[in-house]
Amino acid sequence: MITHARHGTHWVLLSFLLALVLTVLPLPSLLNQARPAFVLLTLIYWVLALPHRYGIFSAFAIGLALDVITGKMLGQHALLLSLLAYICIKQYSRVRMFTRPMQAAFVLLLVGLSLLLQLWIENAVRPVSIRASYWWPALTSGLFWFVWFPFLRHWRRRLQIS
Amino acid sequence: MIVAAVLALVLMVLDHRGDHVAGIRATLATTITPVLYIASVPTSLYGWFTDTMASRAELQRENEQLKHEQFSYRTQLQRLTALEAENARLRGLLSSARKTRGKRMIAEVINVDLEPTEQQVLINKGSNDGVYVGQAVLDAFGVLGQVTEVAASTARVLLLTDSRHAIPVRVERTGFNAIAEGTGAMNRLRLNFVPNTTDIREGDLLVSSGLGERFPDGYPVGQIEVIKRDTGEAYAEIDVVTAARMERSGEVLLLWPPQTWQPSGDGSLSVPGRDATDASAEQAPATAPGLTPSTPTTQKPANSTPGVNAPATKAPATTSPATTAPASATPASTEGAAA
Repeated sequence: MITHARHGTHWVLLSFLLALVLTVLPLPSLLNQARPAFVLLTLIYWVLALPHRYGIFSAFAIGLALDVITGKMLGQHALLLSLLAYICIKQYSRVRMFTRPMQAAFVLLLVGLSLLLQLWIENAVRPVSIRASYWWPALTSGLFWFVWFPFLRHWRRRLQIS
Repeated sequence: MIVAAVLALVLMVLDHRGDHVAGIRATLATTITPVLYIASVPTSLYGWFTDTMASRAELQRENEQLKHEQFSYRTQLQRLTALEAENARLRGLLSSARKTRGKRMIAEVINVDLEPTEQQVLINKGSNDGVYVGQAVLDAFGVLGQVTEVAASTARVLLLTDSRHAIPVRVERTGFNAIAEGTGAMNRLRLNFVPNTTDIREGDLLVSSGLGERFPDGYPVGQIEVIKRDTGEAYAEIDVVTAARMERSGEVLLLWPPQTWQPSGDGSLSVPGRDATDASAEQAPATAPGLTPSTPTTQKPANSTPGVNAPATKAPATTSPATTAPASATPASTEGAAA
């Protein structure tokens, strides 16, 4: 049972690595501003799909990686991602029943929340100025859910990650 | 959840309040480096592709152009060597610390997009190459920024234009010192707290002043683009364009501080020099009447003519001895005769 439960961990890790690569992949500046939060999308998917395996502490570890790669304060993304994972774990049975657009709206809210909290944290440390484009990732993440969710589900079913 | 939150908060506080978690951070950063390299592959591949597919004619043209450029740089370098030698000699005379050139290293920018709200780049040299936090980084045109984080084989460079960054600068034309702060916009800086009445013009070149002891002095930082003087305000609003071209710096230069040393026999070196100049300035008028008649045709009058000339004709001291020598021969001789 235990060996079965751990089946496919490396594929999940690979999906997170892919998300990290996509996070720093060079894009034209307009697309860069609207870059979906790939790591958050991936995390939300895995927590919703396999809540018994991926939860707050996986989120914490991924968050640390994200902090280091984006050069933020260590622990900032770790906190945000753990919080997102917490919300997802509490709500997963409900969210699974949502239609795709409703799930996308849920993702939009979560990413928007994380952006807001990130702004608060950074503002507490030093004053930051943002433009309207700061919020674009929430919108594009919501839209990208329509692509990313089928992609990861296909990945999961094909590789029998459970 | 609470454990994770507390842990995250502790980490954040530790990271913010000092370098308590620098070790963890560097280790994690080193582990995560492959991700960055993978992400930069498409761009490098594209670059490699365009390089490989370049036509022969194009390569030849580029080669030609590079040869021309190198020639002109070489000629400029000759002058630089002479100037550096002169500078070292003059510094020796002033008994001030002489500057030797420090170690330098070329690094490449890893082509990845980082946070759009922050102005930073990654370079492919890290603590293995001796890179340290706070190190100055230049590109081909001027100061680019400073190292803020070091992993084993990568380092993060905070650009001058980041809104958290400020650099002490000097207006090259007037020597006026100011601080240039980043604005968060590409290639834009702002000079703060420059009084309205300061002699500063659009187009003035700003060089690093070295006052913060972080950046070496004398490297170009930017050029003043627009000055808005509002008479109601105490300070002018000054926009600066950076000399470094941040949108397309592929290669950067890392600088190590030069070894400074005090010349040991500074007293014996500088004093005779100063005495000599003082003597020629002060004693020339007194001795000139006695000197000039005796040696009218040799080169000595050329030395003493400024001294003679100053009281006699009130000519500026900057006139060259060669031109004033014939002209001052007559007043000098008449004065000598009068004496």
